[in-house]
Amino acid sequence: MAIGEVPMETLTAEGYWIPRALRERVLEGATFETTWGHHARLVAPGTPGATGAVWPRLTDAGRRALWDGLRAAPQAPVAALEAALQQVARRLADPGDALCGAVSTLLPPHTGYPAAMLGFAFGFFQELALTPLARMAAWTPPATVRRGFVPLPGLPGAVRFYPARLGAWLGKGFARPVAPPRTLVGFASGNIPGAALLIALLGQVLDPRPAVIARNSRREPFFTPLLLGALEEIDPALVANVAVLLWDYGHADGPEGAVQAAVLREADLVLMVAGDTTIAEIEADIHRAGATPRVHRHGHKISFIAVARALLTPERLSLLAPLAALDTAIWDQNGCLSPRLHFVEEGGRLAPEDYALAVTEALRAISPRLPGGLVDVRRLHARFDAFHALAAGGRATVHSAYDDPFLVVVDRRPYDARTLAEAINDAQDRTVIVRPVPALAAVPRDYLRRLPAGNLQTLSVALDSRAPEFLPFAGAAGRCGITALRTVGRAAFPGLAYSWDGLLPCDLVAARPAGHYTTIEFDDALAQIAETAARVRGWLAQG
Amino acid sequence: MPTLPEFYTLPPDDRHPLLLSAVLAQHAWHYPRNTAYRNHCASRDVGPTIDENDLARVLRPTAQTFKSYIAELGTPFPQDCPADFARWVETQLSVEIAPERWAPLRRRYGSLEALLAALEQCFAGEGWRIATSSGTSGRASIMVRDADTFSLALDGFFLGIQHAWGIDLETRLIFVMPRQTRIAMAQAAYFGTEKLGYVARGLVDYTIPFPAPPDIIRIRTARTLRPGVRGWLEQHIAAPLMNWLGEHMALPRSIRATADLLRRCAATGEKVMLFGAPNQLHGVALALRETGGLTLPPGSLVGTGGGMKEAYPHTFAEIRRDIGATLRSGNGPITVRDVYGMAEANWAAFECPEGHHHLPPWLYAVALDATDAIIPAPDAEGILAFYDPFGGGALFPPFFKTTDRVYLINGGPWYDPARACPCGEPTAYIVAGTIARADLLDESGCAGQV
Repeated sequence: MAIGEVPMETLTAEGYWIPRALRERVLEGATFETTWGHHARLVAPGTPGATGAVWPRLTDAGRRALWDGLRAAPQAPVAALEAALQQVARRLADPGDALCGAVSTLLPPHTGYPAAMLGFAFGFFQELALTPLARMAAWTPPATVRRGFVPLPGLPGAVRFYPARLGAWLGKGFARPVAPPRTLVGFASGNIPGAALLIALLGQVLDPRPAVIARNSRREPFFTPLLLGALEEIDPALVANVAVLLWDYGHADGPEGAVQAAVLREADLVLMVAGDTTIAEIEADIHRAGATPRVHRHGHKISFIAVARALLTPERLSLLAPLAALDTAIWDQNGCLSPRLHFVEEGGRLAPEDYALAVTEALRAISPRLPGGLVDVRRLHARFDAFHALAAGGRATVHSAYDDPFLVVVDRRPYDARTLAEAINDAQDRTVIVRPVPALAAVPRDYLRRLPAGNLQTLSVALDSRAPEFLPFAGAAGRCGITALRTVGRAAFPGLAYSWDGLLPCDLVAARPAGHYTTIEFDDALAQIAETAARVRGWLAQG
Repeated sequence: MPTLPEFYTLPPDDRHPLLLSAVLAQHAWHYPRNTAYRNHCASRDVGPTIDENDLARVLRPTAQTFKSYIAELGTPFPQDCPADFARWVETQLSVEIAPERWAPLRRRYGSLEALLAALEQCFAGEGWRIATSSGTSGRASIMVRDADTFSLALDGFFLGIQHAWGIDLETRLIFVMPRQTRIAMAQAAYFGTEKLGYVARGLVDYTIPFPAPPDIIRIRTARTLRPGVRGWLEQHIAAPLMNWLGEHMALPRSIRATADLLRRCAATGEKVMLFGAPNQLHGVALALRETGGLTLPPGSLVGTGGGMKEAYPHTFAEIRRDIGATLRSGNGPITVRDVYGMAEANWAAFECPEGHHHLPPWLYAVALDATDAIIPAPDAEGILAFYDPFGGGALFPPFFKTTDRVYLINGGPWYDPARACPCGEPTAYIVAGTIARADLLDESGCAGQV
């Protein structure tokens, strides 16, 4: 950037949301601040291209009025909220609608994600189904879930529980209901839009609904307030129990620490969607405040793709490659679901090199439709050079070109703990690292097992789930810490009703032994892959 | 072609076309001769001839280029596979090496130092000197220079130090460094002072009493260890012991020796240039502060180099302040100046009285934006990159992009007289306080790092 550019006009909007009926009383005496962001970074006011999120510092009386108001909010049926969400989703997809316009204006400069990517992702909001989520929230898993996969109520797939301690396998009982939280406090990350909304929706499917306060992210503060506002336009009762605010934390002393402590002391359940360091800070604040809420942690996660040799045929690879490319491209690989390594089974009609080639071509096709926003080109070039050095030694193959806005390599180095970690950490900025494996069983045995179990999340699979080796493979992955198996191409639109970092919706209202759930999100993987491939083909054909 | 000193008198507008045409010519010369460079260019669709528009694409990363042996060999211990390492070395150089030249190499060496010494022995006729980076990551860059290239480097360094800092041949040079080391800056100091006659006249001192070969540095940092039991011993026995010895023996002895030398120079009226890493010089300053400080003869100077590579409880600014408060020269605080350089470079950028680091006039320096494109402006904030066609030698193409984010003024052909440094030096310069390491790894949101 050349110094001395004249600042352009900057945009501001509310980075918070309070139900209309409560606003005047809650905001009385409040002071307002503006946080400026540009391309996922906090910047100084007046930075060219920056957007400003305005948010209030409430008075004690205002905060008390907020709690009282949220707790007194009327109940609203989940079905009504689901219908309203679909209405709002249609508005999001309509370029002529003011809601779409607001999102398209504010989010791209603030988050760095281009409008095309946001439009693609939000296009799937119409499929957001709250009824299955509510059903799962009311479900009591059978005790047999500790010993094997059991079917899910009204959903494709299955679930299994992996206890953290040996004793949890014993005994007849498993989960016992607890009183639904009266107050749910959430902390939302901003690397991907909508975490605060997700927290709010989880609260909305409980019966009775809790008061929900979500601590917004400065990195993406606009989306949830905009959507809640749109829902309120349809029926204020739908979101009368929800507020989205910004407050500072991590300061033990001083006014910020007091606000954090006050909020935490109100909570029956704290739901944290944040990095591991932030989660640790918040937990320290909980302890300091003398608060005793239940705590759900959604911290740093790493995810992978596993491709069986049965899928490495010309016909199936042509379906699969665009899905793997999509999983990589969406959110520029910044999501917890974003695959880091692609484990590809050798011995098929086609080789891992063919898979890499196909994914390269698929990324070239997808990139113009889903251009990168937060891809660090400099880092990408550095990785390109690093893998070329490996290639010079015969340890890797580089399939993409220097000027591609992504990187695709096949990595055949011997992996010790250090190189495995390096490879995983290198898989950013739309970097596909294909790792040939002699058999899929090697994935949990030689790789997943060597990683921190608490940081594993999704294994996106391309395989035949009807094959006898599938369930043992899924079981082994779950034992390592994988909390979700879904088919490739679905990283952009995860199912809310399934395991989210090892927690099911019913965990909001149940106590159970320490451990994690692993869900399989399909009955027939091949059929679901074909369905997803058809949708992606249709999207690409729209051009 | 102008000699290096003549570049100081060339007007900026005359420098650019000379430098540019030299860069293009060097590319054409190295491309067919240097395998690694040719592969690098090929990966970017760059062929044997280029024009100005291709300049950004031929840059190689300093962070990787001379460390690529690790990726290619599959080990950070080339002493285990000398023949493979020799092959790697050969690909890095733009000279043809007859296979029999490698014949004296053994199948294994007990240390990296032994391997590098053996290589120097094989090519003693060509005057090979092999330098390493500081290796604080435990994985060192390894660079070969022949006599001509090394001589150019020494000329460049000492021309700069004389031009920028006024250090003459009568100044005593005290280096808070080991005499025996392969770290590029210290190696250049050793051989440069030898070449210029400082050694013969007894005007050089090295006050770190122990050698610092690359193996010792690797073990001390304890980040790259041998596998198995040997690595355990390195991590749990050797590294703690070496660090203890360093802190309790080498460092105090170095500080004492440096302070004694400085006192002697103060007493005899011998002007001094004291040079070392900031944290080491800080130790000297703190020791002298306990005895009331010291006044050195006029014209004395403190030079810092190497940056703050390891965690240290004081900032660079605090260190400079403490040095200036403790050491005086003439009637005021001693002048403290910094030098910026890197192992891969045959040049150094010396700090001027205005606090800016001036790049040598024979260097074509630019800043790269976030997409690795050259910023075409006289003031440019980005990653520093350079082309050194006259000072870089002929052994490998001296075109590199660094890992340092800088605010560069008057780089490349974009010279603006209005932005020239107030010190009067009409060369490109890095604005004071703007050199910052740009780490390549980062965390993003809920996507974790292992």
